[in-house]
Amino acid sequence: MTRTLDEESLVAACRSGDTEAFGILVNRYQDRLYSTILRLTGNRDDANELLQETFMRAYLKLGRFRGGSQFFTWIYRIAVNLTISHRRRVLGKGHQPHQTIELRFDPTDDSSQPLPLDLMEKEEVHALVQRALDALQSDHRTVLVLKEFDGLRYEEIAEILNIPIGTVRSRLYRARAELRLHLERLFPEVQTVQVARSHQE
Amino acid sequence: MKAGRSTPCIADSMSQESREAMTQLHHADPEPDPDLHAFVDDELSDEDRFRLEHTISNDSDRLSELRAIVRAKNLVAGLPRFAASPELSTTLVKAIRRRRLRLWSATILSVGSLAAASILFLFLRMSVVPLSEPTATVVPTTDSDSVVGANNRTLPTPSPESIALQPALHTPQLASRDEAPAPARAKAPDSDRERLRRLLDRGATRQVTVAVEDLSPATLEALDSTIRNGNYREPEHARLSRVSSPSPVGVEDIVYALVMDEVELGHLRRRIERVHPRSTSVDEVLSDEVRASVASVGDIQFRKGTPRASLMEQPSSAAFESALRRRSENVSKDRFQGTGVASPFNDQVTVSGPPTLDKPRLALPQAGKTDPPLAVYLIRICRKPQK
Repeated sequence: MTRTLDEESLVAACRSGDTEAFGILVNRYQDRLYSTILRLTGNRDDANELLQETFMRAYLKLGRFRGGSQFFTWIYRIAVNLTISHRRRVLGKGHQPHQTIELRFDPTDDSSQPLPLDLMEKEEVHALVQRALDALQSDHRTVLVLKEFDGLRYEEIAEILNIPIGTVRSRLYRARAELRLHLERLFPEVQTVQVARSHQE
Repeated sequence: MKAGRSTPCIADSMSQESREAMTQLHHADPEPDPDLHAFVDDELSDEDRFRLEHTISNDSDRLSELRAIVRAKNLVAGLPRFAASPELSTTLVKAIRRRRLRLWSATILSVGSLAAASILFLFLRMSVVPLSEPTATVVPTTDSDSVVGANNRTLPTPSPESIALQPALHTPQLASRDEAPAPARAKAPDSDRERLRRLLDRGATRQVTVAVEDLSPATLEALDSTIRNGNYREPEHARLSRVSSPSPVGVEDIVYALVMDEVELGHLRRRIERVHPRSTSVDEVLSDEVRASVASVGDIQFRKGTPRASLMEQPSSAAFESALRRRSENVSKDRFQGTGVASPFNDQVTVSGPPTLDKPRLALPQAGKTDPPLAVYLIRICRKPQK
């Protein structure tokens, strides 16, 4: 059943107990949120769990959504906060988050099917960028993903993270500088991998 | 590596564009230039943009920096998007419907029980005390005028016998109907609190906090079931308070507060470890982290513990503080005093006047004071970090 209701009507319907309306909201935002969470965590399993938790928490707290902001901003805020908290918890326990968006170009990879070069190149670049993102400070990574990956405006980021716009700006340019430094460090790794492969051959 | 496998040279295989993007990132001056970033992000006013464009066109360093920012931006923006599981919405909607069904069942059961109790109460009252005018039913008379008078709702003329009978017939019943319930109602919360206090002060009692970080319905359901289905030696044991965060975007844990003895605690640990084999840890004391989390809670949901528990109709302001209190009378002054309001939206009870960290609901240890040993355990159920 297709419903083309605006966000406000869907939220109102959810509040009155219409679970189908909630399903529509989930369908509408799940992919976008999933991609963002995935970029913030770097881990598919964690992203799946956090996405479910985000929607479940949003449903339970929907009574408190006052409509002062967009529903998407609100649920985004929940997702980002959950993700930040999750990472803090994981890192606080001394564990490095397990990365499943990994470098596909693995010298020990024994698969017999070679990847097309262009695909491999893209994956390689994406993997390096993700690694650089993972290496960023949590605050920097969050603001960078929201800006570059999601294309949100400063004002929206400020609302989601509950920080002033000036802080968004400063975090953003620090994040970009930090990202460039990490990419700088990671890029030689690619060359190292090539050398290792050449030696193996 | 298998023979014959083609081994592309990454640097060679990278397009010129990608290579430039990666290598030229660090050629530019990393010194931040807020205007330049705002320009790239299209967050400048038209006037500022024109001004900056003019400046950049004459400044090769800034132009180089601008290019580096754009390249870095494009690298992140170009990361692939992934789709969430297509079954997610179906799974969530089903979980919500199950949850609502449970809530409705519980509500209907409660309302039904209340209605049955009311009917029973009325029935008993009617069987003991007549609800109609006492003059027509309690005072028997054969005087036809009096009966007519009663039917016309006028007072009959009492006979001397009826006057003599009246105190004996009415006084005890009126007393039991109007006076006796009042002190009983007033006593109930105090009595509950007193029982709780005695329970918590027993040497063998262990206060247990179960903090659940994974809020998926399956986890909560499994934990509820684990706690409820335990075999407790005291009916009051494992009485359960469920607490969640007051913030609409808060990420604090769901906290369960329980009391039980050491043996039961051991059983509970083992049961929880069986249900959540990868994600249970037990601490001997309430950590500061949880203490802070508990101090900031605003929603409290009271639930019955075991089927045998009979003490679950909580005085809302006292239940949680009792369940997690320290063994000192002094600390209770600082604790939260509030009233519970049931939310029509979900199954939580909101407690008014949320405390802050400056005014914690749980008192922190005071210097120079020694309390009896605190037997608080924390069982934390969380997603186990993958190694």
